[in-house]
Formats: sequence, C-alpha cells, structure tokens
Amino acid sequence: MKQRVWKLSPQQLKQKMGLEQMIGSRLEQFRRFWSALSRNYITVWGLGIIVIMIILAVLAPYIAPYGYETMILPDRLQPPNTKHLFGTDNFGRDILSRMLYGARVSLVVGLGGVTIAASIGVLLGAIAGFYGKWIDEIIMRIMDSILAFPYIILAVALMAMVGPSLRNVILVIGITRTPRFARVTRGSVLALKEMDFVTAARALGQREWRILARHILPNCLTPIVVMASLSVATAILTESALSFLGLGIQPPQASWGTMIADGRRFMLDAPWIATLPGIAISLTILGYNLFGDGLRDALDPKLRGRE
Amino acid sequence: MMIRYIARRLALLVPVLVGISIFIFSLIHFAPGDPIHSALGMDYDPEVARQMEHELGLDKPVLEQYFWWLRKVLHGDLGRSIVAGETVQDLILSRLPNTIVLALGSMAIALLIAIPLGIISAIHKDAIIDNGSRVLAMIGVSMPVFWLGILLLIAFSLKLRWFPAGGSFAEHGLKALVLPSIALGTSFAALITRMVRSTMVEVLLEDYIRTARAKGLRDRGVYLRHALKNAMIPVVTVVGMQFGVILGGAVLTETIFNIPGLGRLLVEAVGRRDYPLIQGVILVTSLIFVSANLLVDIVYMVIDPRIRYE
Repeated sequence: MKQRVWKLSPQQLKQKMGLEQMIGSRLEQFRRFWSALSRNYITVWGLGIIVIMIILAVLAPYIAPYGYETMILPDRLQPPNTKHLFGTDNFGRDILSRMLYGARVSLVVGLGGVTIAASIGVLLGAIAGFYGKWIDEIIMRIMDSILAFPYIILAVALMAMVGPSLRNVILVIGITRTPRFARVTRGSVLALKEMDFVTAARALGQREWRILARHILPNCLTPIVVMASLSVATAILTESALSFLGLGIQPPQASWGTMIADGRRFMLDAPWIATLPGIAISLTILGYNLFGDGLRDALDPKLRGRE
Repeated sequence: MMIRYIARRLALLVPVLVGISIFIFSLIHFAPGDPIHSALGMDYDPEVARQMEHELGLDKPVLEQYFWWLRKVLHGDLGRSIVAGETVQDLILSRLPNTIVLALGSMAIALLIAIPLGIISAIHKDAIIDNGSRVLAMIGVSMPVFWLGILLLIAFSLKLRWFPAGGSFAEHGLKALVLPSIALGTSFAALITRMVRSTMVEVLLEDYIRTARAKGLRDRGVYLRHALKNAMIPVVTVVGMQFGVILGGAVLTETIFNIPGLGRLLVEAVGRRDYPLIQGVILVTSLIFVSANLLVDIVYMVIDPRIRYE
C-alpha cells in the first residue's frame, strides 16, 4: 500500500524528494535537449523519415498487398500500375510488397548490427580507457588491426568465412563496427576518469568497476548515441552492398540490395526493378544521417552555447 | 624530428601488421567446410587432395602453418589460385593497375568538385548556394555507390550511349573511367565538400583573416592565400582515411562496370572459395590502405608544423 507522505521517516522523505528532484532534473535535461534538437528542422525531417520507415517495416505483413515471394507469372515485368503500384519483377513478384519486407530486413540488420557493435565496443573501449597500460595497448591494437582493412573488403572477407545469411550479416556488421564504438568510448573515458567526481567516488571507497559502470559510462552516452545513429545508416548500406554482391541475404527473402542486383539484368526494359529499392535505401540512410548530424549538434555543449 | 616521427609511426604499425597477418591467415582455417574439398568437388583424387594440402601447408600444426605462410608472404610468394592455377601475385598484378586508376580517378573528380564547392559554400554561408550544396552533399553521402553506378549506366551508357558500358581502361581508354569514377567519387565528394565548408567557416572567423582584411587585402587573396591553406589541413587527413572507403567501394563499382580490378577479383574468389586468392587480395588491399594512411600522416606533419613538436 502506498505510504502517505506524513507517515514517512525523515530519511525516507529525503530519499523520496531526492528521487523526485532527480526525475525532475532528468526531465528538464530532456526538455532542453528536445528543444535544441527540434529547432533544426532538417533533423526533425530525418527523424520523421526514420519513424515512417520503422512503421512501414513493422506493419509490412499487414499492409503489403502480396507476400514477398508470391509469383504471378502473367504479371511479369509490368511497369507501375493500379494493380501493382511499383510494378513487378521478372518473376511476377510485386515490387512494393518486396520493398516493404526489405525494410524489415534493413531494420533488423541496422538495429541488430549496431547493438552488437555497441555492446562489445563500449565494453572494450571502457576497459581500455579506464585501466590503461597493457590492457589499453592490447585492446586498441586489435581494434586498429580491424580498422586497417577497408570496411567493405573486411565485410566481404568475413562473409566468405561465415557464409551468407541474415544472422551472419548482422554478426559481420557488428564485428566491423565495434572498433569505432571502442575508440569513441575510450576517448570519453580517458577524459572523464581524471575528473573530480571520479576522485571523490574513489575516496568514498567505491570499487573500480562500480565507478566505471555507475559514474563514468553514463556520462559517455552522448558520443555513443551519435555514433549509433550514424552506424545504423552504415549497417543498412553494408547489408544492401553485401546482398547486391550475393554475399548477404539470400533469395527468395526480400532485401533492397538483392532487388537491385536482380534488376541489373533488366535495366533497359524494366528500370523500376533496380531504381525503386535504391530510392528506399537512399531515403532511409538520408534520414539516419540527417538525424545523426542533428543529434551531434544538439548534444555538443560548445554548439549549444553559441545559440 | 621528422625521422623520429616517421620511425615512431612505423613502430606502431608493427602490431597492426601482425594483427592483419593473423586475421588473413585465419580466413582459410575458420571458413566453413574443407577448402580442399570445396575446390576439388565431390569426386576428387585423394592423391591430388594430399598434394594440395601440402602446397597450402594444411598438413602442418596451426602455429607452424602460420610462420610457414608468413615466411612465404615476406618472400613475395602468395601461393597459387586453386581455381585459375596461376600464381596469386600474377593475378593481383594484372588487376591492380585498374583499381589504382579507378581510385585515383574518382578522388580526382571528387576533389575537383568538392574543394571549389566547399569554398563557395563557406564564403556564402547560409545563402541559397550554401543550403543547396549542403542538401546535395547529404544526398550524395546517402546514395549507395552500386545504385548510383546503375543509374549512370542506364542514363549515359545504355540510353545516350555517351560512354562505354564497362570494360578495362586499356581497352576503352579514359572514356571507360568517367562513369565509374563519378559513381565511386560522389559520396567522397559530398563528404569533402562538407569538410571543406566546415573548416573554411571556422578559419574565416580567425583573427588573422580579420587582420588580412584590415590590411586591405582583397577577398580573393584572403580566401586563397590565407584561409584555404589552413582549411585544407584536416581535409588531407580525411582524404587519406577515405582512401580505404574508396578501395572498398571499388569492389562494387568494378562489379557493375565489369572492370577487371582487384575488387572484382575478390568477389569472384569469394564465390569460388579460392582461399589463397582471397588471402592475397585482402593482404594487398590492406597494405595499400595502411601505406596510404602512413603517407597521409607524413604529409600532414609536413604541412602542419605543430605536429612535429608533439
């Protein structure tokens, strides 16, 4: 049963007020952040594009007029018309339906790949930055070795090792993006670990891992969140490139990259097969880039100070 | 001081090169299935399989295999392609020039567009031309290179017939370089435009620019003699870092335009599970990338004297 305020002990009252103050201050922070973000209309457009793409991806099974592998052979290679709004491909499959299902693949790959990269990269970067010395050297030399490969070439090589599938594409993207998260986190941790609040926490007898997890990492979120937004764009682009090369998502599963690859053979006769999925990829990546840029500007205290 | 800086950079490179070699060596060992059986098919002669195992060093313990492989690589022996039968280095050397020409061509086109556009954008900050170029740059960065290549192919090659649809540069000359370079260079140009604009805007706010204007120097002199030099310093670093992206993008561009380059060689090798060839191509491309980064660091040190004293 909820306790009345006048029945709380002084300590309980202090705790409750402290919690409310904390929530109040967090809400105020979010309000200021949202105000800075929404002032830039281009950022809002970016967010709008992302939200629309996510909604379309989630609702694809309910709004797609056909299944992604439904073949209607008499309707092969039809241009956009009332029956097939975006036309059909060489197997009579509806392009609009395949694009909607392809959006689901992009969403899963983008979020899955970035989750893996952020989870591993932030952990490694935090450990490297916090403990330093030989731990830092080993971790960052491994990260540098991964970064020494041109990105797509590394992704192609890893796909050659693990074989093409949706799960492996997510895994490969996660591995190839990890070093960037590690670097960004390490940089933030290096700056923060010398600050007074960390010294105070140590003086209070807090354990090292607790200082890292409870005090330092929450203050590193800004660059990590910006990196995550921009990384989703890269993840979607990489998946479509791998699928285009035949190393990613396999038919009959719908992927924008695979659709562009299929449409190559019909460039003169049916250019819509390759063109429309490309517009979808470009719009989605544009949305994430616009939002990521705006997020960086909104969260950068130097830029906020100028306004 | 310069020699000490270069020596330090080379020393830092050693663990990275070791990491690269371990990864490339691991490719053949962690790949699914048996590479010998994948290459020889179902009905293979056991004697041929044994010979191939011996040639690839797969009959030795793993650690011994690594050093055996490393010794061969350091002597320039990258092995033999399982499918083509030729030596890997011959295959790479025959394709490498096309990739280098494509990469340099796309960088040249990108810089020719990006630098003037970035400067004009910075000078006319927040005007229509600035907003327009920023929107174009954003769109350029967002377009997949393989899709842009297909659009260029449809428009300028198949419909208008202004340029050939693909092939090597030796066969078709410089005309064959135009469309692939535009496709590959567009996102690079977009990135450099944004970079040049951003650094020029910062530089134009500096005191020494105000001093130059106060001394009566005309705008052109201010922009070209004072501002541009300082604005280009971070751009040099980005150009070097983007070289790796360009090499990666070459994989896709060469596939679309049927250019016989390293990128297409890699995709073919992956499709045929030709592991010695995959290893060789990745080794060469990563060495090129690492060398390009080192060169950029040295150039950066030459043009920015502050770096020498760090």
